[in-house]
Amino acid sequence: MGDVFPQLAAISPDDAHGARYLLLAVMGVVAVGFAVAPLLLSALVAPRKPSEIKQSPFECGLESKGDAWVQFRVQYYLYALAFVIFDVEVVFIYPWAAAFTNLSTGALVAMGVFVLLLAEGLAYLWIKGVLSWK
Amino acid sequence: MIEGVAFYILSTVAVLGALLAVSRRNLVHGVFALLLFFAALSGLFVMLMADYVAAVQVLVYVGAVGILQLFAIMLTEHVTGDDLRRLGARGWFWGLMLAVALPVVLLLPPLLNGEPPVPPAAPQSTARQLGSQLMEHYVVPLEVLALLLTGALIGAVAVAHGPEKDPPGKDRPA
Amino acid sequence: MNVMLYSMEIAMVLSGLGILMLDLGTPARGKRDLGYLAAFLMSLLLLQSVFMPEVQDGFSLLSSGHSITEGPGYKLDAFARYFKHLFLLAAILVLLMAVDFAGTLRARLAEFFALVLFALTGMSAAASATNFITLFVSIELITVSFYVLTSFQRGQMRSLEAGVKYLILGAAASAVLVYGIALVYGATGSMEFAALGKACPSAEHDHLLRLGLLLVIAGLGFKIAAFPFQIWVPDVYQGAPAPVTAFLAVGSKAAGFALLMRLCHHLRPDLRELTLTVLAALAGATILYGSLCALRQRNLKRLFGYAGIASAGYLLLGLLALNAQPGASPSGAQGCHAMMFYLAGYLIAVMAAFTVLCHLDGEDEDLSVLAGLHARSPLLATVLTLSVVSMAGLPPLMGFLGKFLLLQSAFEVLSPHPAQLWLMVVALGGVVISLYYYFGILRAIYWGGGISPGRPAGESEAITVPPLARLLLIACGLILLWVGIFPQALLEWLGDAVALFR
Repeated sequence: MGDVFPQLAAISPDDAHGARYLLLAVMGVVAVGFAVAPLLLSALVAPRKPSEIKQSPFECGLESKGDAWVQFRVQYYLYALAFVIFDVEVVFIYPWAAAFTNLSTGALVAMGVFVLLLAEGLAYLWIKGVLSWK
Repeated sequence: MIEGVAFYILSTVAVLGALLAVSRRNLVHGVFALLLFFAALSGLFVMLMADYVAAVQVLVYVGAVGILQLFAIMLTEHVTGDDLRRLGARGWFWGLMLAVALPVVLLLPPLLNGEPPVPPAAPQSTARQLGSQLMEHYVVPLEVLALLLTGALIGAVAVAHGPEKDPPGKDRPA
Repeated sequence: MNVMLYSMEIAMVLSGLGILMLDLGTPARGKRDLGYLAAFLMSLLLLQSVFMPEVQDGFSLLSSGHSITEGPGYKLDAFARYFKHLFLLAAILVLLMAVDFAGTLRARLAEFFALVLFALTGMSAAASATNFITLFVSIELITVSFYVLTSFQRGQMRSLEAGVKYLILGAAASAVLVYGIALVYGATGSMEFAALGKACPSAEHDHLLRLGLLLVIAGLGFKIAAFPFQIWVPDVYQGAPAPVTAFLAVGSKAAGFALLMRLCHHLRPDLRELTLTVLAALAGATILYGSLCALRQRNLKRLFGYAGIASAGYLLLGLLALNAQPGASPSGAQGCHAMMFYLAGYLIAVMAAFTVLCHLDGEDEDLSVLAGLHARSPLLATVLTLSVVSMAGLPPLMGFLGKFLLLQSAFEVLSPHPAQLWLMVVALGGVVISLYYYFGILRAIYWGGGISPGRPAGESEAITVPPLARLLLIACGLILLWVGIFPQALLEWLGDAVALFR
């Protein structure tokens, strides 16, 4: 790694961790640059001849009316909440899965109970008809 | 050196994001600023060698909590917040005092002594170690947590979902 | 891992989930019966745990050859058992109260019962917690359940407002609590309470530990409604449905105190100097604030809220004994003894008072709804009188001995420090003030006709109380009297429970 990026050698040698994430940071910068550069370029280089039609949100099709920021229905929120809850579930299942080979049967049962408890929540949502869109 | 630079960049972004989040009148913009803060925080976790926590920060906070907050804001009538008077403007002085006092109380003694305290036990944060810790020492909290999440889900339905109907009859599969 | 260790919590969770599942096949008019079912199951559990605790031990003997009372972060000792019994009793009374209250609740009864059981599970786990993770997770389970329970009457603005206020302030308190836990962990490198008894590697660590400890006390102070963290109490108590308020007043508070007791028990002697000062200040301020605010209060639920704040102050007095230097004249056991006795008396009195409240017909709980209660329902009037007199701490009722023991233990702790005897003055002052506002309730019951002369004549009709509630009320009244006159049995039972703190 040190040969490819000499500056990485400046990081303490035991710090492979830092080096990996520095690469990630470099990738992040490149990715953002890749997206931003064409925009900047076109803003700098492209000729500007604005007209009424060109400035409308959609050059063809129906004229858009009203505000896009409308009040949502509460069902969206319930979906989002269910999403967060199962997302948090993943946070706990992932380390369990990573350590799986060293764990006892008890751990399997414990995680089974964990998943079942949350599945009960899902079943409840389903049967109560929260997931069906009306 | 490079770690120092990264730290200052990330901290600046985090502080800016947090400031923007509390100062934007438009709540949706506020949430996006908050997401910026979450992302910078995730970077700071990486610098603390807490890889998994950083991943969780992105997965749960940037990914899910941000969405939830956006939905919560879109539920309200005045999304842009323009025609609302600013809430709690009276409390800013005490909030500022608290915000200043807490770091002073926390940081002053270590600063006066030169060295910040090092945690006695080196943090072990890879997912595998977390997993075995979780399964060895924290099984009961894990199950309580599952119950908490289920309770929250059921509670949200009880409070937010429409009025209760009779259980479905034979014509509708349950 | 021994499953039988957690059998009580498992039974509670299964009952809660079972109720939810049964609800799916129950028609609307049958939903009340689910409450009876839940109360029945919890009564069975309570009876089993009180009279046949060896059932659990027996299974653990079979499976591992010796009796296990401890798991990681969890301990099932006599102390935990006592609190679990208190919580079970509270939950049973709350469930039965909620069944009678169902007409007013109007929505999703099964979820209500299930959430009460979930909160109960959290309290039960909190009573056994021996590390910060269990502490935090169980506290959160309690609080999240209460967020929902508080705003359950969602048709009513006041209930929703209470829910939102509790949610926001509760979330802030949780943040403080978790920050404190993080600091303590950073300083000690361990999540166990026991690590609080060990010396820190350096002075800076010690500084962090002290700071963390203060934040943890602040976070728990929110749950017990101690003075600077009590702002949510009046609004939430008023807005929440009456059974929820009762559960909040008793269960949530007792869980916070159980955790504080375990926590303080492990503290190092030099940390105790700090906590003793802080807790003494909290206790004094809490008693003073609660008592003074209750003076002019006319809304019954708010009145009980402020009175509850004052009670939290008295309970904190008992906690002082746990923070005295080891080997001081009153052992920590004495303070715990007093706290646990007081909590039992408080539980019965609050449950009785709120059951009475549920059967009053006024929409607002102004003191004037009590007018002429002795004529409309002698039973309700008598039980409310007993409960109020007990809360005021007058002999011969249960509350008297509880308050007396608390004051006594605090006096013995503070007597070596004459500078802190002001606290005793405040506490005694609080007792005197409380006589005034509790007497206000009695006056409203028996001589309250003149308060609102314009009340329609129809309201002076007799109130009919359903037979089960009647039975419960009579039982509560009798317990308050009986244990007040013959406290020996309960005190001896408590002797085992506080053995931990000797």
